[in-house]
Amino acid sequence: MNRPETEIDSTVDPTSRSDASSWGNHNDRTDDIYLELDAEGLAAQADVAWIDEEHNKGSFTAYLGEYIAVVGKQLLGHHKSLKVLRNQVSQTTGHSPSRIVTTFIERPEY
Amino acid sequence: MARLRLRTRTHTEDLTYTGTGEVVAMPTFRLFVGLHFVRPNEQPNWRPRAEINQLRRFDAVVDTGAMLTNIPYEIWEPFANEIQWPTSVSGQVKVAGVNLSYQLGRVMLAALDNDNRWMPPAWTVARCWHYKENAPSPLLGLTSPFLTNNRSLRHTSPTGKGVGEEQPEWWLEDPWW
Repeated sequence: MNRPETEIDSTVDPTSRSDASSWGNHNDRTDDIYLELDAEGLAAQADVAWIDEEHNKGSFTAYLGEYIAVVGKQLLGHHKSLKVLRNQVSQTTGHSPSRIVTTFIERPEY
Repeated sequence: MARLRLRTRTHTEDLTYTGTGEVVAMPTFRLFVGLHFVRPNEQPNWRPRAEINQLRRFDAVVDTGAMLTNIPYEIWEPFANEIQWPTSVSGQVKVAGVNLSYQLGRVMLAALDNDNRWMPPAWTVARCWHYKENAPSPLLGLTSPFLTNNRSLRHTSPTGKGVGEEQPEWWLEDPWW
């Protein structure tokens, strides 16, 4: 049986749910917890979404079994080692490793 | 109730029928979740402020065939001191014909989706792989406490009407928030 989608209650501040009494109270409302990100954080999130989009277009099939690195919706590198990739991209572009979005491109047979 | 939209990734493989030689493009469909290492002393309502440290974030396949979560060495190693190693349980698993060694660790993981929704942290028992190269991809096991403890997976009917938009959406829900 399909359950209808519930509406997001925009009157509830998701950051206010810190009280211990909220534990154990089952409810069917969707009090989605949204992160409040700055421009840098939002840009990184946009990179994650871009990776999924491009992945589904088949753009990363050349990198199966490797990690890729993306900043600003640009593929900046790929390598089997995540550590090597982060260091390489950080050194060549000047981006902090904590800003470089990485993901593993899984082989379809696994 | 907190929710998180799982991400979908597809591959298209060319399958060749034996005999006829006919090639058919067969899409494979996988669910992904963006996981985030959380320090074990953080409160359940802790969440990142402003920026997300990409060193702490990694994508994992939601694997319906896996009992345990798998975390490759290069992903967990920087946070080894935040992982609880309850016993010296270690072992080997044969993956794609290769014997890989691991140690079981208890990891505090949260998750975030592409719309900036946050799923609060939960402990997860994970195989932390020792193998450094060609390790299996990160997996979130279906029986992981991250997905149990009253959390549930649910899918909604497809909303898109165009070509390629017909996939349902998958959600992880936690009723305790």
